[in-house]
Amino acid sequence: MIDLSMVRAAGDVRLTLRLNSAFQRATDLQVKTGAVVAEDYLQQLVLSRDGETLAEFQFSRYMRPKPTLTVTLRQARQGQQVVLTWSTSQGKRGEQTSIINV
Amino acid sequence: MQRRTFLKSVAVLMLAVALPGRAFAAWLDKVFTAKTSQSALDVLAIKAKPEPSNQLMLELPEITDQPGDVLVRIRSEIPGTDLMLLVDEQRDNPVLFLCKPSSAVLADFTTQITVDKTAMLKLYVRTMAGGKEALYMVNKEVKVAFDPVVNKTGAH
Repeated sequence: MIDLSMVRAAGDVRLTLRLNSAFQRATDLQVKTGAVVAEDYLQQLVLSRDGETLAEFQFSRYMRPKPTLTVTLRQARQGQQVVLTWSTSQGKRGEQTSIINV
Repeated sequence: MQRRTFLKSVAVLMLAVALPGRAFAAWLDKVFTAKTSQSALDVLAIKAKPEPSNQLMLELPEITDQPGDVLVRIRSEIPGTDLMLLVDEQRDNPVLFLCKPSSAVLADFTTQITVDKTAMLKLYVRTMAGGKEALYMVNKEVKVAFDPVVNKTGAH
């Protein structure tokens, strides 16, 4: 749902998060008989590593349709787990794990 | 006074942790549905007055051809940065983006916002150092060259 790419910059690792087309489809406007009944968008994203919260992000509806986000982790080590937990304004939730490998 | 401010911040943090998801979402909604920046800062229990700082960066294009998404970079080099708030005061609900970085990440983020018309964006940064709260601010305008309203009426 969220594509994550990473590059190493000195001892840090820069992550780029990008909502992919699956996320876009999952949060498309809900349309019933031609009328928009609700809008949905990424509202909250929490980034954690080895159980420690690194950063929390909250987005307004003005960030639609497809926010990307770049985050730089200090002193990131190879093999560490990064967990992304997200939720949308309509209550959809997800979690995905990536391993630092750069 | 400083102690009181610190205790309030701790109380807000404890509340955020203790609140069940639904209540936390409702609290968050208050931030994003606030009608002014000041109201949003009040919901966040930030009492410090904003001061300008040259250690903040708000980077975005000075001009964009037409309404749409633009990249925006926010950065704070101030030690103890624990909250960053990006607002567009001209919107009905000015808060665009809120982030709470820990010391394990750089307070340096790039994201996208949708700009409909010329806007003055403001970045507020809160720091907590030694229990003392401080608030800093920087602003920057992004101009939209193509104004659909002006274009529709044919006026310039």
